[in-house]
Amino acid sequence: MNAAVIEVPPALRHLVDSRLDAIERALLQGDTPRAERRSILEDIETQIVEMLSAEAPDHEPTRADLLRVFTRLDPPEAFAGEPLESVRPMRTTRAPAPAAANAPPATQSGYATTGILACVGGLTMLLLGLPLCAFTMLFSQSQNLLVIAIGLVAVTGIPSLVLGILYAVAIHNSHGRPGGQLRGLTCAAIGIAALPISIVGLLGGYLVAVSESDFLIIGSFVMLCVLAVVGVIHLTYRSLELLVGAPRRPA
Amino acid sequence: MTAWVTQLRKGLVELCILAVLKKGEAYGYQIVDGLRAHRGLELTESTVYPVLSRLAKEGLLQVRTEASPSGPPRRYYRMTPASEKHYQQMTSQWKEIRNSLNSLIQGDGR
Repeated sequence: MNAAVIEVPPALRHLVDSRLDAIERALLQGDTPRAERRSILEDIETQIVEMLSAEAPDHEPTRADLLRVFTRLDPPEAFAGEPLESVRPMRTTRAPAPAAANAPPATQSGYATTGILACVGGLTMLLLGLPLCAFTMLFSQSQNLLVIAIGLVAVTGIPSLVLGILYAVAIHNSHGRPGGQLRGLTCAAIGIAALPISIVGLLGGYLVAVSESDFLIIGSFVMLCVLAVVGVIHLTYRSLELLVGAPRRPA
Repeated sequence: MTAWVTQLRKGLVELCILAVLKKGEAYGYQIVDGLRAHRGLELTESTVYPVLSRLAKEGLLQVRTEASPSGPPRRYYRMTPASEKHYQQMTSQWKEIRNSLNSLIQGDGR
């Protein structure tokens, strides 16, 4: 390969140039940057000349020699193929898609901290804050306890609402992300829904307290119990899913 | 089956190129020729050169241009400290995958 390299005869130069032009067009189709195109073309030209030298070691290369070399090369359109992804594990070679760039990093099971926090916040409010508010309004006259209960709802409800929205957006943006799609839309839903549910519950509790109707009291209590049961079951399900892994889906 | 082999080779291009360059600097055609000498690794110029170019752009390869008396200048590629480290990581990952796959194929994997 390191044998004396001949010069391409002027009569064949246009054939080499045409070949290189065709390859450059293919590289352009593949969105290869200009600097990379240039270096690729230089490498190919070196190869053509070396192969031609080997093809005609003892005479001036002819058109037939050059065409034989061309047949042993990849066709120009082969350079238009999809760019190769880096196989390196620790760094990406391209910037992520703009939408995916905002997605928080997923945990091993495809959940992100944002989603888990939204879920925990929402459930804390539904299972602790809301019943405490209801209990205070219905059965206790303590203003301090009511302030604490409403404070608890606000402190857990507003952040979980924000986190839930952020996580839902992150799930949406993680579609097709190389690191894997985020899961746990239910976590986002719990985070988002907890505050509105609590506000409705508190309004209902207030109305019950004002009307002093036994039917409304029992009805509200049952509704709260149902919400709590659904929440606990779902939390258990999600916790188990996180602990023992999600059921495998066929690829 | 051919498509699968092609994809498999493509996934290993970077590792193959670095393995050739681990022995010393080389220009594009030398790398292609060096790979051709290994059965199953017959990667062609349309696969190798774009990767060489990308690695150089990313600073993982150093390029030295040497004028040729008659032909075009040769672009010699050489590994950098970053690519040395990268190569070590890739080879250790490759060994891990190879061992696991061997174990799976031989039937003693779970």
